Amino acid sequence: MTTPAAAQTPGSHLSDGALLALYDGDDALEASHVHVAQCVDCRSRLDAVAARASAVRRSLESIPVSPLNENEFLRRVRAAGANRARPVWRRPSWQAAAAVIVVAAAAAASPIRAWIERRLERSRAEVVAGSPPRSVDSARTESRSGATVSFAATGPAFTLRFDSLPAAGLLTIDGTASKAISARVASGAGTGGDDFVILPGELRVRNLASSRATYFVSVPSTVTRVQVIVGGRPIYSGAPPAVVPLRSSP
Amino acid sequence: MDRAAELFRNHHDALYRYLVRLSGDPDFAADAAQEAFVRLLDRAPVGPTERAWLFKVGTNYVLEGRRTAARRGRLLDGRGERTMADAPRDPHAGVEADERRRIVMAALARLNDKERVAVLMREEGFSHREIAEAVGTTTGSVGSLLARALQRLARETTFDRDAL
Repeated sequence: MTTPAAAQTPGSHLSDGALLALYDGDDALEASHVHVAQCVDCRSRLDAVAARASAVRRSLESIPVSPLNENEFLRRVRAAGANRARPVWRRPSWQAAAAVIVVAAAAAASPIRAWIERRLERSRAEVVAGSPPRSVDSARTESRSGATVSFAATGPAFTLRFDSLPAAGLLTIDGTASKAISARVASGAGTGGDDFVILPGELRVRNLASSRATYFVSVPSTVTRVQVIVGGRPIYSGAPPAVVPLRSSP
Repeated sequence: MDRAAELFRNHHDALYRYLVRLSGDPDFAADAAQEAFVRLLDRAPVGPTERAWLFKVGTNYVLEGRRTAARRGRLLDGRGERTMADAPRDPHAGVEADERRRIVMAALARLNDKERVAVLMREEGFSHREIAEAVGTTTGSVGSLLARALQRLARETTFDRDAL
């Protein structure tokens, strides 16, 4: 790797970048030190570089930064971390996720689509077992808040559609060696109500405007384009991986 | 002391200060810091030091958020709402400080992402090599990038021009 001063020929003046590296202690080359010691012009420019660096430091200190509330910050970090670390088979809706995998993968094969549709009503009863009663659209499969859902990718494009622009939150989209798309919601900050609804080529997130949840989505390498739509507005379109903040405007 | 508390003690001060300066929004900076800590606890970094890793995740969060905000027509220029993370206000002495802060944030906002990240990482003591890795350039050219950015910032935020 080239050091800033290495590009300088012996005896030539140092660039401002090289002088800054010297000032920051990032250039240990003897030649640079020797040159500056002997060159009035470079010493003068080194002084100017140092003065600018000091002025910027003073300017940046004018931006007020109050300390974070340690207890609250760590509580949120631990809550999110604990959720991520929990083994999938210990999550209450693992059975729902497993059912989703079977349903979604099988649905891609047209010869058994009719059979799947006949079975869907009975499967849904198993999926939502233990959930509070709620109406379920016959074309959808869902899981409860805090769960992981996993389903087969149907093509190179995949859409994540959030019903509402949340108060805060983050969506991380990572690649995975698996052939299935998986999605997980974490650190919902007690708002609850976040449900996944799997649709062809799309995952709908039924969230609330007050939500502060974090979502983790993993997609296989066959998915080359992910679009994120929040409250009907596209906010991201690109190849994974990506980190997409979800937050209301003030 | 558990791992999260240890990380907080060791890194939160510099990381949060950096993210506030980078984003201009204390709430958003807190979100970014939280995400960096959660991800560090979730999977320890391989290769880079944990400090550089925390800054990298926080930086990505903020820069991605700025792009999203820009698409929504919202600019993170330091005019965001004040929150519990902000310094208490002295109504009699705040005007000049606010104006000073506005000028500095505006000057930072005029730098491109690489320049802004480089300048702010340098302020937190990162080496030119670490900064070069973070912004995706060579160690040889990061000095020039920094020197140019510092010159612009100094010119736009310093009233005593003779000192420069």
